[in-house]
Amino acid sequence: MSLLHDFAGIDPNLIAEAEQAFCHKKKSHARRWIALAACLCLCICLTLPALAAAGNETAYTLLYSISPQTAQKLKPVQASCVDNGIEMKVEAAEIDGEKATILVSLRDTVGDRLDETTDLFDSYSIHTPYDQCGGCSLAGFDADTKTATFLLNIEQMDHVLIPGDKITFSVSEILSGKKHSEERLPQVDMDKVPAIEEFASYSDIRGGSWSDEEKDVPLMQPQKPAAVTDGVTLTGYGYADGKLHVQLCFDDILHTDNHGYVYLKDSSGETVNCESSISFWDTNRENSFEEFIFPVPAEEWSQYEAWIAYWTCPQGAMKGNWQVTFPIRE
Amino acid sequence: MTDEQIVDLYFHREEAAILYTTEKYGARLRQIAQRITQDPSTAEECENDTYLEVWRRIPPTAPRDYFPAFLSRIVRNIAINRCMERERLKRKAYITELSAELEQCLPAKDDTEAALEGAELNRLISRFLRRQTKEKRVIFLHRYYYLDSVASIAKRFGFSESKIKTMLFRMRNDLRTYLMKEGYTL
Repeated sequence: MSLLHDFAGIDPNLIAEAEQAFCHKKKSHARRWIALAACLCLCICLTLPALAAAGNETAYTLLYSISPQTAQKLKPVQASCVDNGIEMKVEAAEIDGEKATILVSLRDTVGDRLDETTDLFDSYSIHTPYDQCGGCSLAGFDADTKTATFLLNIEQMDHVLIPGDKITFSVSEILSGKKHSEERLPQVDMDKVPAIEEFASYSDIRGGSWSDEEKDVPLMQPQKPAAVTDGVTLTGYGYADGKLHVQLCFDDILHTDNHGYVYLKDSSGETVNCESSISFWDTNRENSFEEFIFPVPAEEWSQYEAWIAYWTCPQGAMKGNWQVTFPIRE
Repeated sequence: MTDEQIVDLYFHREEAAILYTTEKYGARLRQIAQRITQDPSTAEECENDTYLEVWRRIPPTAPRDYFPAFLSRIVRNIAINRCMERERLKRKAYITELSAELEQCLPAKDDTEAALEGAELNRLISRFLRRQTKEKRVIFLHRYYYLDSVASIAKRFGFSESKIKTMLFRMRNDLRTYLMKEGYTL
């Protein structure tokens, strides 16, 4: 299997060429006409902003500020479920040919666990009767009603959704209370960068980015950790082969989405991003070490400060089973 | 939206970056994962995991000039890992078979010296492929990069399966000879 993994490192242009050779797909003109007809029917039906008329002023106002055109077309759905004290409600939906827009709200019925940083931690699923692709993004947060509203965009691949078809939207994890900061890493003394003496060979590489030349670069053995913030520690820095290495550890990434990166900044504010980075699991596959490698010459190190940008979620993800199925109506 | 603009959104930690990636490349990513895993729900999972991985990698990685290849490499690796982890997909044997085919012409990973020269090996394979006709290299990559079956490659290119098998066999031999000339021990 490793041979197949290695094979992924060949020239991206060749891969692109092979992929283009595969992607010759004709679209059905008949389906386009059906899509246009469905769109027209919906537009005629929706002479009033139905969502506003249905009484959901909060969602309507929020969406109107983002896209008046979409807000006016949305039709109320009002299907909901509650788990772990969080109510998920599909407020409204709009089908426009091959595209569907769905407005979903999350409301904390028992506390203040949601905020303007709320996200679905990539745990949502959209199911329709046909092959589709879709995305979900936070549209806004209303502090008064403790409601976070998300906008889903679905694009059908080969079939348009028609009245009677059902859409199921489900979520299993919600993150909120996320913190973001960019700050100097005072623990990294750029005037006294030590030589890395202990290297390690890691088999459990989680990911990373590196050029072909960097693929086999040695990684340092984590040293005495120095806390950066809750969930992020500096586990070492030093130089090897004339390159500066800085290693961080992000705690419990599968439940917190803790992540970040290191960069260098000089006195004029110019920044230097790393040349490559490699992340690897700890023995329990819980925490992730990430090593950032900078090709800056040793004589220039003192001109820079090491900085970190990080995102953490100290309380971790809320888990639950939120799922709503609703039909497409005329 | 251009790839460069999408990558910039990742740099600004705008979640819309994922939305635009989904809109522009979601179908293609799912297609790659589907071809490897042969399972729609796993393919969808691989696609979602790809977005998470891209979110984590950018920044610092800045694949402005090779964003589609960057995405396809990630989804491919995730899909291969899923196949190896999940017995129920029944793809482990197929992937092992493909690895065995490649072993005939590539140095094995446990050869430390060869592993250290992995970057050089990738460059040589790329150079070898560039010397082939477009048709040949596309077929080769469909087999060993996208892990397509011989039957599906034959159908797509309008050749018989035996022709595809012969073509791949000869290319593996040619690649083997080429790598040996470059100093690899196979």
